[in-house]
Amino acid sequence: MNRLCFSVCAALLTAALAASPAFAHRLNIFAWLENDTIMVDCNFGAGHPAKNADVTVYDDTTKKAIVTGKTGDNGYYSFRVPEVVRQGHGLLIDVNAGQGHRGDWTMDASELYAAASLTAGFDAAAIYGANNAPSRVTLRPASGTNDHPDDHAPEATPATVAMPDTQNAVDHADYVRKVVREELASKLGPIHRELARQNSSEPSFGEIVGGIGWIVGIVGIILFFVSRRKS
Amino acid sequence: MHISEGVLSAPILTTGAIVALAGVAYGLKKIDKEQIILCGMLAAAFFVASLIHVPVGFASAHLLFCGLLGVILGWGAFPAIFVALALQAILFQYGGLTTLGVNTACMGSAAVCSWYAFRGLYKLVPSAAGLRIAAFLGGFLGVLISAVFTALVLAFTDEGFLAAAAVLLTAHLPVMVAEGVITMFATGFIARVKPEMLALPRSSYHARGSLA
Repeated sequence: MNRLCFSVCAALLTAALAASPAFAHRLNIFAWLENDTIMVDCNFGAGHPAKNADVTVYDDTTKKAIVTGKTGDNGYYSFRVPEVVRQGHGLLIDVNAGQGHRGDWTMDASELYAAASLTAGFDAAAIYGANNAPSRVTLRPASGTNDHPDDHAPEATPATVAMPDTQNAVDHADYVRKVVREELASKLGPIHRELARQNSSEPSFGEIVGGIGWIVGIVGIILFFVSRRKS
Repeated sequence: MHISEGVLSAPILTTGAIVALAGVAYGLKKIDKEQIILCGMLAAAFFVASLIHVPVGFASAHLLFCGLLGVILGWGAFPAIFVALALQAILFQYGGLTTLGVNTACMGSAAVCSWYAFRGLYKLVPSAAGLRIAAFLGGFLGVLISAVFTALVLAFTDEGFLAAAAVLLTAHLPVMVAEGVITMFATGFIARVKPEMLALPRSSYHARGSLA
């Protein structure tokens, strides 16, 4: 009887151990920029998407809710980069999967720079400060002087503007920028997903053993004091 | 049933922390010297149990072991659960440090409730079979009551009590049964091998043979 009890217990535990997690306790969130869309991946550990979770996107500066929605069956939620990003505001993505599972993810304004600059009228200085704004690569006609983008000093600009087909060149530059960005997005997508997967790893063996070690230590300390008091 | 940070309001968090503090203090007072090691062992079991998922049918949730801790330790389950939850929050980021009080209060109270249920039923039917049934019920109730307490806490959020309770109870139904069975076997084993470990009234296990 004794042995039977134990074998049943052991079998039950093994079955439970072999099973994959599903209804876990930590909601993992990972958000990234894909072209002009922000993708949000919500899950409870690898392979277990948080379905139908409430997503609220806040303007990180004004703390106002901008976008709300729900994740799909794959745990993904996506939305277009909102207008406020153009004012240099970051985003706070808040996900509530119910039963007390909540998490958030912050996207810096600088992280959203690429998407924001897609839209005309974007002011890089608002994000980086007037002096630190990254120099945007500007394509100029072949005859232009000082063509290295890093050397793009402000005083060189008037020369470019003076060229007759400047507007054409700017359009062309925007076009190239757009194509490169789309290509990059398609190449970086899988990498972002992989990062999202790694971000949601289960506790490691070391952490589990470490926790048990802590408990042993606490019991030891308590026993030490109890035995001293007795003796 | 680990509530994360940022879900609950400050009054709820404070109330939870006060209940947890009181429970831990009373539990520490109740533990005697012989129980300390057992308490630590069960705290370790509770700490690891959350990593074990019960996959039955439509839903799957992780083990809790509040019932098991309650049945074996009585009030001593409170400090054990507190330590295990604190380590889970720090090492695994399950739950959170601000919600540690609320989570300890929910699961610790459930453990104590299941202890009273176990003891009450065993007093009514003081036999080997009675012990098994009482232990099963203790394990089962531990999960059930902590689900109800968690839903009660969530009643103060947008989610509401009924919605949270419905999801939590259905998802944890397999866990209730699994923990009932585990608690039944574990308690039956201890009753045979070392009955004095169970915090039962002395008269209940005077005839050691009858429990075998």
